[in-house]
Amino acid sequence: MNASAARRGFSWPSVAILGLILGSFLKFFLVDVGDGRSPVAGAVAAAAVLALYVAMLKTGDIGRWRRVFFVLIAACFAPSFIAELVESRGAMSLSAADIFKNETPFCHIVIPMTILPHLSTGKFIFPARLEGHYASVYSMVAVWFIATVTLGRGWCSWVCFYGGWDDGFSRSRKKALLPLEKHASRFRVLPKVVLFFVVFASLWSLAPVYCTWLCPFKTITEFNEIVDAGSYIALIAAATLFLSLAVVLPALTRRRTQCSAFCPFGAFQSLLDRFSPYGVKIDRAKCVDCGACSAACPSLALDAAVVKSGNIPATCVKCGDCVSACARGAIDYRFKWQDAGGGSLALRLRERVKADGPAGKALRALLLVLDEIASPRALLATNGVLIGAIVGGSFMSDTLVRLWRLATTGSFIG
Amino acid sequence: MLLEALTLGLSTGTYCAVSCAPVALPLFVSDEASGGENAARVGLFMGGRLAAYVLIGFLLGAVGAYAAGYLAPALRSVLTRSAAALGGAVLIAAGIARGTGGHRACVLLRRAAKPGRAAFAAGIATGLSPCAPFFAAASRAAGTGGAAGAAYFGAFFIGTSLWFLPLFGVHAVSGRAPELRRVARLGMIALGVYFLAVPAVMGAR
Repeated sequence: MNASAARRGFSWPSVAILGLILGSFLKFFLVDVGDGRSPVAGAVAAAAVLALYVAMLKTGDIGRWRRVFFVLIAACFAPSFIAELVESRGAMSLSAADIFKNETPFCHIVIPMTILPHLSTGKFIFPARLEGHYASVYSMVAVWFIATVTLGRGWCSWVCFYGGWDDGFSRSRKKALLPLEKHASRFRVLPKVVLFFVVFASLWSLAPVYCTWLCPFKTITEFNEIVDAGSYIALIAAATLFLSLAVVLPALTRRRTQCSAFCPFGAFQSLLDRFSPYGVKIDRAKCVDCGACSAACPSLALDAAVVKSGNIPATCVKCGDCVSACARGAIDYRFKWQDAGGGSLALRLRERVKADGPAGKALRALLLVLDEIASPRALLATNGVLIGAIVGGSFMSDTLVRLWRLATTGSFIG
Repeated sequence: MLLEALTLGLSTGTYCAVSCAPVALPLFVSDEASGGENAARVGLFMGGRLAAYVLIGFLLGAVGAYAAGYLAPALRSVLTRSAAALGGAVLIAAGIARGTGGHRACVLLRRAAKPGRAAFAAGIATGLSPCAPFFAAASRAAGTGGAAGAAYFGAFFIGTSLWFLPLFGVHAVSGRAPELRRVARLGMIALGVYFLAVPAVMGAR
């Protein structure tokens, strides 16, 4: 953690209030409504999430602790998901019979490519259940909608259960062997090209083209049963894309290459980011163009030109790495309607309180707490951790149960 | 019968437009054109569609029910592959030609794939693409005689054309969005590769 991040950590009263609020939600979603899973495992998962949230707020280093949270979700998602597939259908591969039974879990990446076919035919071109399962169409679309109007493109740093792979590997080296910053503007356009391609290719073929041919995460979730040359080529393509975009390139470039240069859902979220109240803004009065933020940015949203202009593109994933990296506090989370350098109403009122007595001190302390708990930084982190935990918390508790089973019975699968 | 063809086109034209959009939209969105230029190119695109429809209608009318019945699966496969191959080739050529490369091959390609030519060829490709309304029209036109079949498809074309009118306004959006044109240009090359590769790898859809 750097010095600037430490200076901007929250006071204990604010952390306690925010922790109580988030903790009650976590108890409800991970312990009380645990989807039939062990309440003890749910409580352990909730406690771990809460501890990471407290670390984010108290240290002010949101980028670092968010990454631990995010990687944890991804690391628990794959084993939990695969084990459930093996238990429910006996294999990680998806057979034609499973497809005809609409037993394919629905994932958010499918949303943009199913919209136009749905509008033109009235049907979802994806063989998933519509309801009654955590990975059904309606439940995923509901979570996505709530996340979109709160986090916007922040989905890609706080909620997506795939993103932790390239996010984690992007920090496996201290220095990039392949620096991409100079080409950031070129890379930023690529996910939009992939989105454009998958939307029209899916419309033409009335089939989920991205899932069939391009999804890297088939490698760690489920893949089509190998029955012909096409399915064999698709599996090789998925494994190659996963290893290159989610493991090797992030490690070599220190950038999230899958999310920032390929994922069509990321491009889709960028288009919808205008509905999110949160953004990251640069205070040009404080900025000295040192380049620390663009060097830290894993999503290629920042480069020298962007920093100079002060206009951060909608490809920013709101991960907080730039906020943690800036030694001058020139870049921070803001509400979109706020100026980059403007203070909150509570802070302005606090400056007007001149009384030095106990009442004055108490009022100033109260206004500081109000400023902190209503700040975009606190609200974004709370939103992000809560929605991330709703989506990924059950995978965490399920993985805990399975690890316990592995330790006591020698089997990960029940 | 012509009225029937017209209403068939009008009632199923949304499906036709959606089925042709993956070729038509990238082509027009990636093009930096004035209102007049865009209108001329859309006109050429529609001309290509009409030419393909009239030709198919004439052949089906002349050959008869044999083509629409016994040969239907084979006919569908041939048409799908031909339409995908032609559409894919047009998108790749036009996508590369609209780049800024100064290489001799790029310049030659730019001459060969002029926007008007590309629009006409794309029109033929979408006209050959056998969507469900196309087959409905084919089953009625088959065996009616060459001229009657061509006329049936001509009236069907007029009915479906209503749903292609938004193409005349594409330039108003793409003209103000250079990034959208860039995305469409790169996207059409990827789509072209897909149109060429998928029927080859997986068989006709």
